[in-house]
Amino acid sequence: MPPAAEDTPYEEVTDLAYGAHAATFEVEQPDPHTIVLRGTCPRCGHAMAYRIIDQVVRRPAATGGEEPPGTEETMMCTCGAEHADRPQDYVGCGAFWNLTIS
Amino acid sequence: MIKLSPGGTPTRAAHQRAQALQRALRDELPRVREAALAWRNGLAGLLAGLLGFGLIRGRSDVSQLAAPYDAVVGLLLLAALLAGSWGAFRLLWAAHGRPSVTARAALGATADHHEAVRAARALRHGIALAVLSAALLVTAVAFTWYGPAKAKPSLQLTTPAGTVCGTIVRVADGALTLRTDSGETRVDLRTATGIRPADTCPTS
Ligand SMILES: [Zn+2]
Ligand SMILES: [Zn+2]
Repeated sequence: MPPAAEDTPYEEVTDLAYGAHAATFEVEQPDPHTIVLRGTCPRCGHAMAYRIIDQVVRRPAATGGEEPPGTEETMMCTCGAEHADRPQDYVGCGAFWNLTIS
Repeated sequence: MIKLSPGGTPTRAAHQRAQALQRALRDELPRVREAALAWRNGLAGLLAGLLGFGLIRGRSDVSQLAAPYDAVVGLLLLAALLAGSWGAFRLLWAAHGRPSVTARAALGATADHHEAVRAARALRHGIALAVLSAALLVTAVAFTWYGPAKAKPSLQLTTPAGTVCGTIVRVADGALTLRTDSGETRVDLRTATGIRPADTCPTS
């Protein structure tokens, strides 16, 4: 299980176990263009929600575009908690991993 | 049904992209609002000009236009005002959110995204309407500047010598000077046996 989070500093780390943990996330589909994954971060243990959509205002679909079924999505911790040493404008604790969505 | 399974090892570049995308998603609503605010201020200036022209100058300028141009200008101004008002409404919506209360689902982040998409659409409509309003206003102003002036009212005088018709130049010493097709004509009013106003003089 994830460690207690209070003093996990921001660090960009990845681990195959993170992806395995994220595969247990709850999936919501509020509309055909949006998936929301909910769970706890495998590194800091904070609750997080991760949104995958096929359109963002003023952002061409080429870079963040729709993921056809069965693709790997690089996702990351988006917890709302404070983590020391986190760069400006970044979210989460720095943990990132790949998840296959199909 | 969506299935999740563990993926492979991600690249740092993909992580940077994910961070940027999440940031864009988080900031998209404020960004649209900001753009709408700027457009709203611009449209406010346009509407002020429209009202200034329509209400202050318009009355005297438009009333000097010949028919049907006065009616056309009136309609253009009305259309410009309607387009401007609707545009202002859309821009205000885009800048400050829906005028009605929306029930926000538990999906706060997703609701924000939908609001951003709606606000972006409202912003697009608002801009188009603002441009339309400006175009209508410019057309109306052009008509008042270059449209044909209304013909001045004329008088038709009957004298023993014949009928004189023209616009009034001056009245002095009991005599009326009219501008007729053949130049200024002085008529002694004491000899006049009839006088009546005419919109236009009959062409002889
Ligand atoms: Zn955290
Ligand atoms: Zn985390």
